[in-house]
Amino acid sequence: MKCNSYILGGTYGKLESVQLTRRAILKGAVVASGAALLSAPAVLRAAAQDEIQVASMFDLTGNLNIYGVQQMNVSKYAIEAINEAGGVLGKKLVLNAYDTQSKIELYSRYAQEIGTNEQVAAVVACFTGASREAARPVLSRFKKLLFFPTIDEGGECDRFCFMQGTDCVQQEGPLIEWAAKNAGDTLYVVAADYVYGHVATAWTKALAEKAGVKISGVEFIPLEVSDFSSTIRKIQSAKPAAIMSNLVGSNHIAFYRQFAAAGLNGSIPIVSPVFGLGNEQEILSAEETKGIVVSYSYFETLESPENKAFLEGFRKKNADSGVVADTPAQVWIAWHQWKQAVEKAGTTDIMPVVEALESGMSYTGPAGPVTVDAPSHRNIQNVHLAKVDANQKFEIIEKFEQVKPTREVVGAGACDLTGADQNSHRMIEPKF
Amino acid sequence: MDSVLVVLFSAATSVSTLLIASIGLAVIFGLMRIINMAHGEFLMIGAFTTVVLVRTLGLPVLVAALGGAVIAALLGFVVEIVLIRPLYGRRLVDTLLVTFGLSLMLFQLAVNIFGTTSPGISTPFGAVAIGEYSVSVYSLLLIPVAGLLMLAVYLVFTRTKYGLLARAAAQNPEMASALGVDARKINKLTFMFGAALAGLGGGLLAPIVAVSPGMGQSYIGQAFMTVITGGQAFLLGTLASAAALGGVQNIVAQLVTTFWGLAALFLTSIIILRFMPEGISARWKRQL
Repeated sequence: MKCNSYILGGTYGKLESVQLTRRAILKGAVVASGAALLSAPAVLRAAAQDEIQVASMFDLTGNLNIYGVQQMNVSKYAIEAINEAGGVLGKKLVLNAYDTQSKIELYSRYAQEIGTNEQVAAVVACFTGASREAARPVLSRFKKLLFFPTIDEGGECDRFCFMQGTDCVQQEGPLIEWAAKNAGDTLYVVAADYVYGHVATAWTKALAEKAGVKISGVEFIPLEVSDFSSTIRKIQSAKPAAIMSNLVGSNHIAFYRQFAAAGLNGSIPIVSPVFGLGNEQEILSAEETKGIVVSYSYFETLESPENKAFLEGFRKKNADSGVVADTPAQVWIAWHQWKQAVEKAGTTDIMPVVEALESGMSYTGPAGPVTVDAPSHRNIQNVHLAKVDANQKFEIIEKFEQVKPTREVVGAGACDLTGADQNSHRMIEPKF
Repeated sequence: MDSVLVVLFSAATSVSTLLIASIGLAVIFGLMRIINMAHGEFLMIGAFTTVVLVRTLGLPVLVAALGGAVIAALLGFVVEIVLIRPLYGRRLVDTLLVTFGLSLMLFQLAVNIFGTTSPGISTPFGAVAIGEYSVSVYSLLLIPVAGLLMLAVYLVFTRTKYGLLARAAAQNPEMASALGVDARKINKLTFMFGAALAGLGGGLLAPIVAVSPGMGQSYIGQAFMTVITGGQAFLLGTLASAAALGGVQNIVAQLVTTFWGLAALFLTSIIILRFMPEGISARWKRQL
């Protein structure tokens, strides 16, 4: 389903042939008024003078909606907030909201739809890397600007795509540093058995070596597994000082529960660059999560006037929608960085906007100041280490200011969008 | 020594988990030949009921799991009347499609009711030390619980009038009807019983997994493998195949990796079915 459906405009023509019974008239009236409200193409074109169309695709239904619903909530909130503050270049933004239903094929289909709609100026969309890779090449071909809000493993090398979330290096560097200082110099890695888990683990190994930390074991867990008894036995045999969890998805949450049930959560600390992304700390109980250390750019518990205003405004519109994790906050940041760039460029045309984004201007949002690193199209941003406290909230324990993203792709070179790759619209596949 | 013991306990827990997750499916498929694709969602409903009962009324987990069985049975009652009854005697694939649709609906319904990040319950009873290892008491407890569950189901089908009639209706429906067995009533009871077992299973698993609307989907594949590999003797056959598949999976996971453990489960199942296409229990004399 997509919310803004101007396909309905076509029903005007059909109505003429409807026999004029009372019911038909009633139905006709409803359809006609509905079509008028939902902006038929003609209406759209007329309105385009003082409106800018933008789009979001998130999973509002299906198994990934644990992430998608809040992303869309924040996307709508950000657009409303921008409009309330006067819009962009004096024009109101109109959000075309697409529910991709946790289905990859819908990402390519809706990307096609967005791509062929000349009016759409920018897109903030996707949660998984797979969904981004379904949508990005299509959007890129149609010269649509895409902002991707999730933390990820890197490898995108597309002039028309900007990555909002932190990368593995930005997150894992601080975590390994913390583990070495506070737990000891051996690390056991449990990771989800798909591309993110493998790349994140490759970075874990590289960064651990740099920090003088020894890897005492690595185990990749298929996404459908929720029985961790053999993994927990192996961890006990390996006796690591700390555990790096690159586990993902709702089945893997069982790891933290079974780890605690075996009585290990008091003795071996867990650090993770992904825990909390799906609000795992709320699904698990306080005693199971206490002490898990995570690193993200954004936490609800950050104390800054920007974050306070962001959360207050959000709660007014979404009182019961749960915790705002890093990814939805990045949706807000993406829309505001885009707004800033459009205002600097004085147009929504893609190349001037991309160049404005690359020009090194800063935006200070709920997660602190962010600046695009032009060669990688990733944000230089603050990274915070936080520990889950007794109330299942993230207590900030350390702040790393303005951490730079990596331009390197694991095992496959690097991307330089201001140099050799300035006309590039590809994905560099990491090798591990 | 203690490491061998821990590996064995861990393998036994895996077998028990598999058994607990598949027993409801085994009853419904074994007696009614209905491929219940919504089995995972019955597990999920039992699990959510258990979580709610533990969190709101403070019931002990094992008691709350019985509540999960009751709710799942009630749902089974409605589902049998509305969706399953019109399909008796139709092709297997019809029941598959209908229950698959039901599975999608129940999943989305759970998302709408509980949201996607609802709090669960932590594992009770703490941990016990075995040598230098520490093991969850609750997961050890699942081993005798699975044993008792099997025994109880066995007794229901051998010692009660319902059990006798259900087996009669399954083996020879025409003859059973001719002798005055009310097949409609028996079928309804069997479907409810299977649903109740699924609900109970979900309840028992709730404290060791993250209860979410999608949890059923992670069990359905393995549960089907277990039941199909088990063959016609739906109780002891399922027990035998759970022991074979769960045992192989866990031991391989211990020795190699979790991935290969899962691969070994499916591989074992394929090999067994290649040489015994009707399942492990095909040539057994017993029907249970």
